[in-house]
Amino acid sequence: MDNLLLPRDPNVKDRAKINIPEKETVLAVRSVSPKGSGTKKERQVLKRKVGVFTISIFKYIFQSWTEHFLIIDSILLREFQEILATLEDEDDTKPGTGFLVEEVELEEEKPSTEPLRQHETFQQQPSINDKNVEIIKNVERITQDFKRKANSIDTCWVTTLEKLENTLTAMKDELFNPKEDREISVMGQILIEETSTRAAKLVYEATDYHRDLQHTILKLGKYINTEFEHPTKKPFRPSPELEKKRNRRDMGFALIFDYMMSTGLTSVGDSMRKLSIFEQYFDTLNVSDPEKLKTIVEDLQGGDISSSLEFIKSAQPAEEHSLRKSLQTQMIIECIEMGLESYDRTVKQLKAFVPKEGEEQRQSQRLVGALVMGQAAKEDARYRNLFDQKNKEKLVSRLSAFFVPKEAPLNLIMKHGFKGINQLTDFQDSGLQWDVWMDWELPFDTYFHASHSVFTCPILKEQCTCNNPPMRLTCGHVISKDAINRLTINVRNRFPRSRHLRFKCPYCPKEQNLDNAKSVDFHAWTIPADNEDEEAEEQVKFLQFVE
Amino acid sequence: MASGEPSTSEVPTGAGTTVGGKHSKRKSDIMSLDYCTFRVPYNELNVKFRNGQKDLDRAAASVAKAANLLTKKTAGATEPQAKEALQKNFEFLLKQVQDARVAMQKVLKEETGEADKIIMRCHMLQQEQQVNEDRPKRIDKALEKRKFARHICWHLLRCGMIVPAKKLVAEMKMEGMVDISIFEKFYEIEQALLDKDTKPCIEWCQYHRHRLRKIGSRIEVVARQQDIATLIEEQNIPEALAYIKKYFVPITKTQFPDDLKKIMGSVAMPLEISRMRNKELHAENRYEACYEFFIKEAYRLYQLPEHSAFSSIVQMGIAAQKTAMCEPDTKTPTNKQRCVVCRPDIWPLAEGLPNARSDGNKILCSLSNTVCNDEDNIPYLFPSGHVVGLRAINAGLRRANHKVYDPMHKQEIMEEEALRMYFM
Repeated sequence: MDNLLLPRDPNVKDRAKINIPEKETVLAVRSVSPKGSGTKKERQVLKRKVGVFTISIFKYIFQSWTEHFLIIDSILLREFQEILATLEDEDDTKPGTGFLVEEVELEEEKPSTEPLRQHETFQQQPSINDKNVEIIKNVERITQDFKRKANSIDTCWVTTLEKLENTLTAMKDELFNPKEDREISVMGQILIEETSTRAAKLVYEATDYHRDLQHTILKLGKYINTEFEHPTKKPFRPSPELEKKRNRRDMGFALIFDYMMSTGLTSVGDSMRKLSIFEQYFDTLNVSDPEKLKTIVEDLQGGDISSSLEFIKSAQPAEEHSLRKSLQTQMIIECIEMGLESYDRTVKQLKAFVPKEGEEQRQSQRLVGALVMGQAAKEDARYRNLFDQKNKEKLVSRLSAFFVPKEAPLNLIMKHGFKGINQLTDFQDSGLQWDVWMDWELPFDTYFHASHSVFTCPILKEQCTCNNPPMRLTCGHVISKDAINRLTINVRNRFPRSRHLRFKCPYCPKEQNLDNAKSVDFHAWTIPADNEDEEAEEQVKFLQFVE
Repeated sequence: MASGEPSTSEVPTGAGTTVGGKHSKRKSDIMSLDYCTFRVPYNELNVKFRNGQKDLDRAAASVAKAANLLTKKTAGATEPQAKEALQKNFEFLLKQVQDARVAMQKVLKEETGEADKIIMRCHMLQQEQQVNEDRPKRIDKALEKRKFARHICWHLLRCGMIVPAKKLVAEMKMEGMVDISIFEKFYEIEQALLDKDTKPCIEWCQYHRHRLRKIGSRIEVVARQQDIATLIEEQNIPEALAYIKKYFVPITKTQFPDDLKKIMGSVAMPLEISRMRNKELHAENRYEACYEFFIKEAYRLYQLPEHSAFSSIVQMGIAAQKTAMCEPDTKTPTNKQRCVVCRPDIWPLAEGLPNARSDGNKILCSLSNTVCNDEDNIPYLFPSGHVVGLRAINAGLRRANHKVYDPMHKQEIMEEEALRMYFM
């Protein structure tokens, strides 16, 4: 069979995750077309046999195949690409408008002759963001519809009631005027009767019209319930929920506090700290001196750079000069914004701004120009960017960087969290399931900072851990300890007392001895505290920072 | 069973599933994170509509009544009537029409206010969701910061940190994006209940009566039970009976007859026996239990999820960075740690979460922390078991006579002892 997809490994776990039916079989597409082919009976038989996939599931499965299986036939790949191109225009909502998938017996595994094909040529499905925008637009459309109806009731019925009120007031003035006759004529009584009947009728009608708004409200509620269905269960187990358990809640608060302080939202952090319920976690926080940071940020926002200058003077950071200049520039700009009252102060600051050659000199000239123009410089294209509010924010974040050496962990966690949930949504959109309660690994590849080595055993397709460390064989190939155990299980069963277990490397024909396999430690190596060899220490320190 | 707990088994509201759950049919799970952003104003709109409709119905009935009174006097008139006989009724009709108009204006204003809130939220969320290549990065960052702040704010509100949440909203200019007022109300009710005052809770129940009845909530019953229990404790039985007759019977007679029987039993039996038999009714912490039950029911009413979206995001964020090699690192100072998950303050949250998945291998040099490859940074295994990249060896570990310095064992080794490795 020429058009066959072969798995890299029959035990590959991913098969279960991408819903491929059997372990010993692999799906191959024989006569695939968007409209189906073959006789009706044949299609029915095949549908019964393997079920019918929606187009999105098919796309996902195919894309997974390209990632997880070796496609040994380039013609087949081209066929797939053509099919996918035609499927792009198909209606995805109806299951089974598509193609027939047949289950075929797996033939003998053939060695791969071509590298793994990527699917970068395929057109992408609409992104999650596009779908979300569509959902939000629909919510807006229904709400606008509601608002339009409410406004029309306002303009129509409230005006009518106002008119009725005016009519009644006019009648009251006319009929019940004390200066006039003491009796109301028969005509007057008829008028009163008609008007009162009309009043009752109008108010009832207005109420009825208002009642009709219920339909739109229910529609909105139904739409929100459907599209924003809320999670009632915990996403993971055991769930590190951050609300009910006191210690976990405090950990969450500590993360938030750290984030607030490092992003310039010091007033929020301060008010959190006043509650003093997570004091024990302050020691582990990223912010080295929250009080000082708070003073600097507040002073800067109030237009006072003295605390910042004082800090620069004491800390003497490498970028002292540029920071000083930025602070002075900001000060001068704020003086110009304040107008003539602060002219003396502005000039004083300008004199302190001793420019070097080049860019600084040009900056100095611009500042003088802005001073000459005064507040009008805000509108001038040449000086407008000097007055940008973002400059101050940048300055705050630059100064915050001295107190927060790295970005707050919560920032990184939330960035990855949103990305991960997006990916999970994509994964689910393809009709695939992930048993969050049981699995020990996320079902999709996530980008993460390379803080630790990550090694997936090529035999077992499992990440190596401390309990299942990677082992270097004598040929240089690295596989996991569990993989070696499995490779030697037969030998161990046959010769339980043998001290020299032999097996073949799965990648090269070299025979291995279990005793010669060496455990690999991926942990970063740091200099021990009691190290006495200063020269070596210096060298390693140099190595650790050389990159 | 504590008096603050529901008597029937808890029924989850809606057919919601988890983020990443088994039965999800929605287009986008990520939107479920913003469920509160729309659900709460929708609920407010619904309540305002229903209460407004009731006011309008009442006003219409009053106008009809006034018109009817007037019509009765003027129907089939054949002779003139004295002004005094009609003036009072006419003025009454005018006043009722004025009231109806004012009620209509008020109701519509409130409803459009809520609608405006939803529309404003739609605009802000659209801004966040739309991907625009031409948009400056700083705007993207600001939008991202606002998104983070919104979820943090919801979390703070749920944890009762009203003041920091308010400050966050003010700082981030997110007025109207987060419903602080409902959580303020919750907080107010909490404080009142802890002070043994059920009045704000009962008022809240009456405001949301329609919806509470629809979801079969017992919160009003539980709140009123506390008042009755206090009267029983004070041995003020006549007052307790009057209270039960006036307030308790109408709400329990059809829906919760067991509660009625129980409270009547407590009234009838001597206090000591009642304390023995109905421990939860006389428990010291019954007001705390009542508050806990109130929060549960309030979340059910607004269909707020059991856990904040912030929790889900944090879990996913940690899991996406967690590797099999992660473990709490107490040696390195927190501000120098490369891995977020290994921080001792974050590790407890990471325990039990799944690891991130990486389809490719990333092997780092144990010394320089650079990624090894098969070209210019070939990985070598040192006798200690550590992996050292070729770049680090060339940078400072090479010695004369084909030797390499092993910093781990503090000795020089032969080049052949550093073993080449192949990661497939």
